[in-house]
Amino acid sequence: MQVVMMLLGTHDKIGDNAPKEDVQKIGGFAMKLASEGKLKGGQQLRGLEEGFRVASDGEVGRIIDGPHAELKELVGGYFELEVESMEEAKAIAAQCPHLNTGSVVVMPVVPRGQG
Amino acid sequence: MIDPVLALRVVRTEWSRIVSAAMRILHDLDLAEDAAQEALLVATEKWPVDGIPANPGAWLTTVTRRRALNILRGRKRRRETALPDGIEIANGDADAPQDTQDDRLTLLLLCCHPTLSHDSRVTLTLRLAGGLSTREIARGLVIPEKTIGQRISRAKSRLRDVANPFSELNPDHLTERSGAVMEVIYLIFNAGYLNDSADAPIKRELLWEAAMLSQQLCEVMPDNPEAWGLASLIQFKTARTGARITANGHLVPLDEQDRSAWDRVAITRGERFRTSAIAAARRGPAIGAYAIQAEIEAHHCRAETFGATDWISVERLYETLAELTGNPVTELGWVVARSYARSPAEGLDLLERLGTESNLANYPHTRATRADLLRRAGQSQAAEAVYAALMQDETSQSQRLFYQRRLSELAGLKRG
Repeated sequence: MQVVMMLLGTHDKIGDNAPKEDVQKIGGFAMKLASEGKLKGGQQLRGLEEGFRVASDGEVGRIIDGPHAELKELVGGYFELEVESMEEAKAIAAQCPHLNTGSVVVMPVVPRGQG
Repeated sequence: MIDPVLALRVVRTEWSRIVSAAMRILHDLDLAEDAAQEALLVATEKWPVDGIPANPGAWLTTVTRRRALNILRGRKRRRETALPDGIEIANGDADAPQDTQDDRLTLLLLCCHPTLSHDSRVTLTLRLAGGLSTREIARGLVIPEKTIGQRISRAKSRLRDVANPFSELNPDHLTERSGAVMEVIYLIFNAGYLNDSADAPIKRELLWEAAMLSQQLCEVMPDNPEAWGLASLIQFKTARTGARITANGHLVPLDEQDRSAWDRVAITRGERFRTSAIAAARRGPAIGAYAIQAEIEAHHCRAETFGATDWISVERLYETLAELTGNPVTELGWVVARSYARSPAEGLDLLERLGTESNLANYPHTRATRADLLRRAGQSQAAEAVYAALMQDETSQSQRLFYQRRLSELAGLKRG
C-alpha cells in the first residue's frame, strides 16, 4: 500500500530555515528507505517566503502577504512510501530524523481509479 | 537535500561493479553482498553531506574493496575458514591504484549459471547485478517475499557447490552463456512490461533494471550484435509504455496509441544501439533474434501513424524471425504483420497453416489474435464467439476491459 509521510514544522524550521544537519540526516534516511525499496518519491519544499498563501474567507482568492504566525505547522517536505501495512509505516515514521525539529504525519493514498 | 531516488539509481547502476569487485577479493557471494551493502551504508551517510561523487562507481568500488579487505582480514585472523587458493591480502589499502579489471560480465554469467533454473537466474540477477531488495523483487515478479528469499539463498548455495565460482571465463562458453544472460535480461524486461498489477512504479523499476543491465552487457561485450539488439529493443518498447496503458489500467492497442506520447529520448537511444548492432554484425557474428526484433520495433517507432507503418518490411522481418526461433509469439507477430501488409483474410490463412504445424494453437494469445482478425475481416459473429470465450477464461483486468469493449463494438455493429 502507498502512504504519504509529511514532515511538518514551524515556519522557522522548514525550507531554507531547516537546520542543515537535519536535512542531511533526512537525506540519508531517505536513501536508506530507497535502498530497501520503500521510498517511491518525495521532495523537500522551499519555505513560505518563496511560496504564498491564499485567503479562503473574506476576500476569497486574495494573496496573504503575512504574517503567517497563526500557521502552527507547515509541510516542509514529503515522502511517498510503499509499505506492507500501517504498522510498518508507523515503524518508519518513528525513526524519521525530522522528529528532532518537528512532527510527522502519515496518511494512506487512495489507489488510482478508486477516488 | 540530496535526491534519494536519484542517488539510489546511481548506486544501482554501479551495483554489479561493486559486487563483482568484492567477489574478486572474497570469492563468496554472501560476503561480497555484505561488503557492497556496507558501502551503500557509507554512501547514505556521506552523500547527503558531500553530494553524489563525480565518479560514483570509483567511489563505491573503493569503499567496497576496503570493506572486503577488512572482512578478509577478519576471517584470516579468526581462522574460521581457510582463504581460497591464490588469494593474497595486499599490504596497500583500497585507495592504491587497483587493477581496473571489469568483472561485471563474470558476475552476470555467474548469476545465469547453467546449473540454476530460469527463475533463479532472474531472481539472482536482479539481486546481485541489479541491487534490488528481496521485497522489490517479490513485488516486481508478483511472488511472495519469502519465496524470493528462499530462491536467493538456494541459488547461492548451489553456486557455492560449483567449482571456483569466480574463475576466469572460458571463451568457448562465453557465447553460449551470454545468450543465457540476454534471456534473463529479456525476462526481467517482460516481467515489467507485461505485468498487470496495479503497482505501476515497480513495473517501471523492472524496465529500468532491464535497460541498465542490457547497456552494461553492451559495455562488456561491444562486439556482440545481439547485446546491442537487445538494448535497442528494450529502448523502443519502453518508449511506448506511457501510451500503452491508461491511468485506469486500460490496455491501448498499438493502432490507437497517442504516438506523440512516445518517449523520443528512448527512441533516439534505441536507434543509436541499433546502429551499433549493425556495426558489430559487420565486424563479426551475424544478427540474431534480438537485433531483428529491434528492427521491427524501429519500424513501429518511426511510423508517424499506424497506417504509415512499413508493414511489408515488418512482415519480412517477422518471417525471418519465425524461421529463426520457431516460437509462437513470433509466429503470431508474423500473422498480424501479414494481415496489415496484405489483408486480414490472408492473416487468417497463415494462422490456420501455422496452427496445424506448430504449437501455436495452444498459445493463449492466439485466440485473441484470431478474434481480432475475424473482426477486421468483417466476420462479426465468429469474432463475437471468440471474444465471449476469451472473457470466460481471462483473469487480467485490463485484458477483460479490452475484450468487453470489443464485444460492445461488435454488438453496436449488429444494431447499426
